[in-house]
Amino acid sequence: MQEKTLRSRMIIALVAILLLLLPAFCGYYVLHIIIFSGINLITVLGLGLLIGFSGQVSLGHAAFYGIGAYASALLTVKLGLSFWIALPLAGIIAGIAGVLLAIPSLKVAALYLVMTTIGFSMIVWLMMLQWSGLTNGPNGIIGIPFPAIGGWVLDSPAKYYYLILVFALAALWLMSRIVRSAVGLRLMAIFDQEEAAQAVGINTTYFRVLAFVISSIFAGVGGSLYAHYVTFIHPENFNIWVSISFLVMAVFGGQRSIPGLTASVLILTFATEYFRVFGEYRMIGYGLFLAVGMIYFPRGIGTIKLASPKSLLARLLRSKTG
Amino acid sequence: MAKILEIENVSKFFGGLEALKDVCFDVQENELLSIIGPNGSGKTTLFNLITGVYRVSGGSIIFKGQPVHNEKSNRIAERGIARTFQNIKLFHTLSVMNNVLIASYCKGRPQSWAQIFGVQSGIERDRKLKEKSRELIKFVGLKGKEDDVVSNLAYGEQKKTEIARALALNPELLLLDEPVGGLNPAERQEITHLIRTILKEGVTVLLIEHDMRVVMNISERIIALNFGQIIAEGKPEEIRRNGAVIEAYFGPEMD
Amino acid sequence: MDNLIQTIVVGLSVGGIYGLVALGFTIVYRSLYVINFAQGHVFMVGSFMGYIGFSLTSRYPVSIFFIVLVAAAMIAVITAFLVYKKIHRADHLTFAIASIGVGMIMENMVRMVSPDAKKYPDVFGEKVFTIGNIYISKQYMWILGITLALITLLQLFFYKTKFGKAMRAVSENRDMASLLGINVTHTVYATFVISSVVGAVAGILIGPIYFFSFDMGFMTGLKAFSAAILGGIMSVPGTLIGGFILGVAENLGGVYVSSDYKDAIAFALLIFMLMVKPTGLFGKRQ
Repeated sequence: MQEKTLRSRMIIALVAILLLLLPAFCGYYVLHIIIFSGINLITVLGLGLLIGFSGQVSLGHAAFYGIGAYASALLTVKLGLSFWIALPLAGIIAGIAGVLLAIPSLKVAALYLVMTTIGFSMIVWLMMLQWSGLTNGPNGIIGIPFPAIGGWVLDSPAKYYYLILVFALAALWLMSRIVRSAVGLRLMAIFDQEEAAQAVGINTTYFRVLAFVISSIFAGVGGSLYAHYVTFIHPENFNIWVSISFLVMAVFGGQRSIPGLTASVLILTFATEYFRVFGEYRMIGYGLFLAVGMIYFPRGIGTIKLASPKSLLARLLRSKTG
Repeated sequence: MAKILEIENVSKFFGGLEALKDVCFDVQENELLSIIGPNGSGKTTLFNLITGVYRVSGGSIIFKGQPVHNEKSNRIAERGIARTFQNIKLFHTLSVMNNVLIASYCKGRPQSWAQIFGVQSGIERDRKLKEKSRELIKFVGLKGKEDDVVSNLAYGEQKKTEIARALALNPELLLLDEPVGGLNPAERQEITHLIRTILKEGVTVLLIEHDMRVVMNISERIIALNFGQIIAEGKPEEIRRNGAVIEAYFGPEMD
Repeated sequence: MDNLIQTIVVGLSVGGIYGLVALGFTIVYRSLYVINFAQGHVFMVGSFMGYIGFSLTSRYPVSIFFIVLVAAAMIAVITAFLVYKKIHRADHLTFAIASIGVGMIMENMVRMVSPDAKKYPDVFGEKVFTIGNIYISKQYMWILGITLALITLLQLFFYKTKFGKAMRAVSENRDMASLLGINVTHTVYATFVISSVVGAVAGILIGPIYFFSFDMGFMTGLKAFSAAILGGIMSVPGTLIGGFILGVAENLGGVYVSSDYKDAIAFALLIFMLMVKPTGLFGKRQ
């Protein structure tokens, strides 16, 4: 038993060193993709809570992601606020939007919820496009400032990487705590047996809304981190395709598996980026991936038992936060 | 003795179907009242009305002097009414411990966010609630099975888990819907013993059951329903001899 | 006043298109209780094939029309065989995602060949009728006519033919139907073939009014779905009426309220209906 603990401690230390030194031996391009992976991870963790633990499927998460991005961008560009204030505010604003979407979703059967979320995200997208006074319409917002810590400006991928690392690890930690807590348990209870959940005193309305709010806050934070990295956002960054890719990452991660989700986000973000050169073929490939993937892995990759270093790491991550 | 539950002229219609009509009875504190009747006589409907699953079409339900009819189910649970289900409704992907623990959150106020952020009071509270849940699991005879996922349990064990879960609400009124249905004689004994012990703790028990031996054995009073109406009410010996009851179950021929 | 009526006329014709595409959703949902996200893309593919056909020659329009329908049917059979057949029993989410994938494949395959929006060749001719000051182009008449004809044919099919009744039986109770000797797999194929053909018809009809573009599948599909929910996704006439209502509402909103947010009308209606009466205005209770 002691030997096992020593070994896992060593592996964790190794991984930590790896993560800290990553920018040193990774090329610019790989670092770039890793940053996007981290941003996606934060967003998809929230979506994973919504889908896997509270059973509410959202195909509209790009809306919250976009609201977070636009909020953060506008707060810093137009109001001159610091990134460190804009980010939490962006999360809160996205959370409020989450309440708005949660309300119709309470009254709607599970299958139709998907369509409701699509409708919602289309309306948000249209607002981004048409409300020029606020959002600058199709031209988007430029000149979004990099975050700065004192005098140190995070203006390169290597520097931004550490910001993302911190946030992604924090998001992983927070989400693991949430799903193991009284909140997570009650969400799962509602998902399993709603009538019995009510019979044991759970206010199902409150918790369903809470799941939406938590997931939209995560997405909003992800959006803010995105905006301050790319420094230029416009409505096409938040279209239905983005929602679909978030959903796919969440579903392929497997229900209720945070390590599976992490693996899924990494794999899919890298795949999407590396295959970008192939243009339409990439999209066709993605479509094939979806269609075929659903035939053979309907429950996501988190449920596959891999005997590989990655799964070992995943198992370690789980035990560390348990 | 005080009345803990009053059913006053309660009716329930589903479209054109009259499930319950003008049902009136009281439940005394700490008694064990059984509700019997053929299938479809309205027993579970009655439970569903008491626990807020359905709204009444007419009449009122008073619990400890306060109306509870048409209230939301989770509010009724908070007030002190707990139930088990005829076809088990456990949280099937979760463990025995978690099923009971979740119910304990109703009265136990878990301080979720303190727990999430690792604040000591939240962790303490969680530990206490887990303790309490463990005791309840032991009380129903499932010690050692806390971490088993409930869908892997035997049927009898699932029934016991449901009872433990209901008890985690610290209820004053416990509604048991066919708690021994589908169990073998040994298991029936265990549940019957369990119910007796629960009564000793001061809980009032309302029981729906088809097994007449169990009903006659532990009930202090019995109410018989047929076609949504009360056809008889009284002590077990009286009910046993009651012509209307016999006719409801066996038809017009005398036994 | 004339403006109002003209707007309504245009709305009705667009609505007919929505209704036809929506019928595809309805047919699939009624039989299999899944939402086929590729329906809008099938509409686009039908439009594309029509574009190619009519650009090649302006003679034999009727033959080309039917060739396109047959092609659409064949595409449906292929996708059903490769994908849908294997997962139509899985849960809704699985099917939804897989059909999103199929839709993506269709959209991008067409995009490779035709990345720009294209003007449709004149299929129906230029003739425009006028009643007072209101222009009713021949195309509108065709849309209305074909829509009504199609729906009549479909009703006849489902209620009077043996196979149609078999399909309805499968949607009521799949296991029972197969016990009674109905070949459920054939029903699944037929479901997708019919919904594809209907979508393709809509695609051909809309070309001359607007234009063709590889990316028109998604939006149209979403709006058509709104129309189906509005009218009642379980009801064939209801869906069509939903389409007409949506088309008119959208055009009225676009002209009298705000042209910028015209598209939002469909989505707002969708959310509203799903909340208030998901079975639709004319829907039967499920």
